[in-house]
Amino acid sequence: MRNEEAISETSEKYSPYCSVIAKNILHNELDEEECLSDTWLCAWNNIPPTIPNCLRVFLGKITRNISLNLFRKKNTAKRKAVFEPIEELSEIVAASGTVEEEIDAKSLSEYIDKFLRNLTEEKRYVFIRRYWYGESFSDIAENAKINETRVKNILFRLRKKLREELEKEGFLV
Amino acid sequence: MNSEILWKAIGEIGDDLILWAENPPKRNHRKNFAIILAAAIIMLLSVGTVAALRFNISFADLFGREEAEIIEEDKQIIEESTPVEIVPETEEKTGSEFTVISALADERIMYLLWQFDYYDGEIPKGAQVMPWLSFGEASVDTEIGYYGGMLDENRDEDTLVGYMIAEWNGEMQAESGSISFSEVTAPEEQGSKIYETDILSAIEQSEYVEGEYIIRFGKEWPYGYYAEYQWLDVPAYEDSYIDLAEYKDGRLLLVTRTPWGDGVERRGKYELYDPMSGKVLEWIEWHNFMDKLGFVFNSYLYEVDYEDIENLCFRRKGEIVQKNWLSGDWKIDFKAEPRMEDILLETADENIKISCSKISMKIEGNLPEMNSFEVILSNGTKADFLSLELERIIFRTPLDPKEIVSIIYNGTELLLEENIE
Repeated sequence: MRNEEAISETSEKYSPYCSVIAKNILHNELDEEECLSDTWLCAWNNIPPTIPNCLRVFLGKITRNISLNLFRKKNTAKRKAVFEPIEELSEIVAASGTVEEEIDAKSLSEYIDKFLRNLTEEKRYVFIRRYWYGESFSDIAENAKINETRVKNILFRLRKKLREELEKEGFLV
Repeated sequence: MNSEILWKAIGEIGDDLILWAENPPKRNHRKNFAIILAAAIIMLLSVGTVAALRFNISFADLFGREEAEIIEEDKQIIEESTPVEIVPETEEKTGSEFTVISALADERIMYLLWQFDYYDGEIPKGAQVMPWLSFGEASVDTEIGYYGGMLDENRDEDTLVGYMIAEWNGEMQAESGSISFSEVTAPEEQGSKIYETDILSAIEQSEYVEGEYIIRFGKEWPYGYYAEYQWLDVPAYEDSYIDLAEYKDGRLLLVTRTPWGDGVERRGKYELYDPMSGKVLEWIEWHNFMDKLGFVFNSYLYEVDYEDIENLCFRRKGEIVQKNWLSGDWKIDFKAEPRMEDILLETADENIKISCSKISMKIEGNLPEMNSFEVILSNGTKADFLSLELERIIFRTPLDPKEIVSIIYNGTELLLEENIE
């Protein structure tokens, strides 16, 4: 039987990390709290059988997914409400017209992983902060000690490069 | 798939990458904020340039030496001017920018770091810029004038960073300087040539007997090796032939025969090349030898898939020359100030005065012509120099003048002996 205190301990330890992710996506304090509660519950229900390699990242991933679902749910009525990083990613798929529907999600992740590892550290950092952590341009610029325009330029080029490579590899047709 | 699937796929990248991105990467040579390079510089803008201080390059980065960190205590901030042209943040930049990043100077010399950003594509590897440095009418001829180079290590595809080192004097310090250039050059290969080579045919024709080719290259002839097999005449390159070809276990052995009296220097001039992929196949083993008739043979061993062999051919390497890659007029004006202060070192002879900053030294006094000169530091190391003119002795790497324990000029100690341990 698992220790019921695990949830509160997990919450205490990983709240700062997960709340940053939730905040980047939701921009609403109440929604962030709701998201974090759901995160701990989801983690509780999934460990075991899922034994994470890294609990911190495992919880971060759950937060990321729940935050996006919550964002979508809360903004269904608002037609213009978009989550900017995903909107930017649509450039990659939209530019290619038809999109491969039967794509193997695991292969795609592996390919993006490889793509990122071949980037310079600065570019890799900017990409992951934007499209994994959902961070704003200004926060990325501040942390990376570069200006915001450079962040946007880097992302613009990386999207273009990723699109070309995904096309070349047959992920986009 | 839509963008959300892409977002989810990004969500499943390796845990190590996600953890890695929790902290910003350490800056490399042009982004290392750990040590901010000195000297205040007031940027004055000229038409068509945009000055923006974005990177502070350390003196240590410039010279690649850790000991340069002593500059840390002299940390000085460079002032930034307002760009002439402000690019809206929502748009991608186009064109290029030339920026003076920072300067470090004492009364005698000035180090400048500049950056060139190109927004319309990637800058080729090996690209170079040779800027001019001018202080207008205040410019005077000095011993070394100025020189510079590129800081190419780990650079981004869209950025070039370079440095300049210039001697200067009071008049130049009072004036604005300008750096300009009109072209970016990039290495280009000229005169390369591809030869039709039928390696598969050579393999089929070869008389090679499995496991015996090494034995066949006998060592009995006093002038070296000799080849004991039937020569092939499959054209390789120029007037050379493939003499033997064998493929086994993923390895291709090629022996080429050069004309009589041709010497052995052909290695390195020719390479096995795949025009389909544009890649050169590097040999993993090479030998050359001469037979008893004076013919020279080169044997090369390659690792290659059999199905790729039919694409391979010999290629003569061209000469690499720097050619114009981008033309334009880039110019930026700046004003730097000599902020690094001298300290006076105590000398044994009161008629000799030694002023020293962390980057250069000046020796005044009636001294004979220099035939040897050493500056020894408290840790026992000797300083290295870029220039040895008494008016301007420029250190190759910065040092702390307080750490100088001995200055030996033509075998004579110049410093006060009491200070020398």
